[in-house]
Amino acid sequence: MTPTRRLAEGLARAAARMAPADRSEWGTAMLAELDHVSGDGRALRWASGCLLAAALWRLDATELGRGPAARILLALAIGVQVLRALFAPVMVLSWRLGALDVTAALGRQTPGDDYRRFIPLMQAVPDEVMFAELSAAVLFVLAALTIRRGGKLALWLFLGAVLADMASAALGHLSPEMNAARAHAWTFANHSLRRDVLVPLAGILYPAGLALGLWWVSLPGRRRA
Amino acid sequence: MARAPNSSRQTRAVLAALADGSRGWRHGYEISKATGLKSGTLYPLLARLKDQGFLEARWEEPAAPGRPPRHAYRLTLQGVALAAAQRPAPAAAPARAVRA
Repeated sequence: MTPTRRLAEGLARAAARMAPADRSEWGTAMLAELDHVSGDGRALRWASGCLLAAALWRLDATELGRGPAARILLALAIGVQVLRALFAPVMVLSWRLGALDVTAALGRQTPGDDYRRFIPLMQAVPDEVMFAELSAAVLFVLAALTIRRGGKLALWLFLGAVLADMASAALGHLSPEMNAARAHAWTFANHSLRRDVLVPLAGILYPAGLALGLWWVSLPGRRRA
Repeated sequence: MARAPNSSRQTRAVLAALADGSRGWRHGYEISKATGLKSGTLYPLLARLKDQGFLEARWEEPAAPGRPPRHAYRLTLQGVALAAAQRPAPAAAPARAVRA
């Protein structure tokens, strides 16, 4: 068997495994049909299509927040995301609009405890970055609201929010002025255990803990019928 | 305006391929070759048609030992009616040809 054919078989097997329970018969059918596809290139294209179909079925079968524990965890996660997505735009907007009390209050929550070190960064932030970040926050809120209904809309809103969040980060990194200002704002003379170790560690552990929690509450034995 | 269900070009192609009664049960790859549809489009469509009762499926014993059983499909009576309804009426064909 050629490596391409082996890859095609691997992809088709992955598709069969990925298909949700109510589509597992179709996953097996697509895999079995690969045996009759002649040519390595055709087999690889066939298997790639199988993987796409299975992924769409899996996505379609996914309901965010199945069960009360999962809903609480997701609501918590989305709440954190909303705060994170709103923090920088609100700080920048309050500073640009002259609401310095708000800017100062938010600045006290930043490393360095003072908004003034962020002034060059707040000047450099392009409008499209703010727009993308605010869009992410709105989509996260809508996802949180629709989770209560337990439908699939929540998943699409959540994915939209994640994409908007990623777009905001990507646009920010494409701006040389913002990169320079960010480097200046995040350079500190003194070492701080909280700023340099604990906060970054929490940033790494939080999504891992959330994923673990969601996995645990969605185990078949724990899921409500 | 919302499109009528099962009226997409891909669905009509699958229905037309399956409506060829002389062939009986047909396999996924065979339908894919007849319609030009890739597996990623074809199988979700077949699954939907089966869910809606337009299609029936069965597992066939492998022709050669060591090969997996194969899934085969054919239209139900309801599916045959749908395929006939999707087929353009003969009288309407010349008018469309002139417009094209």
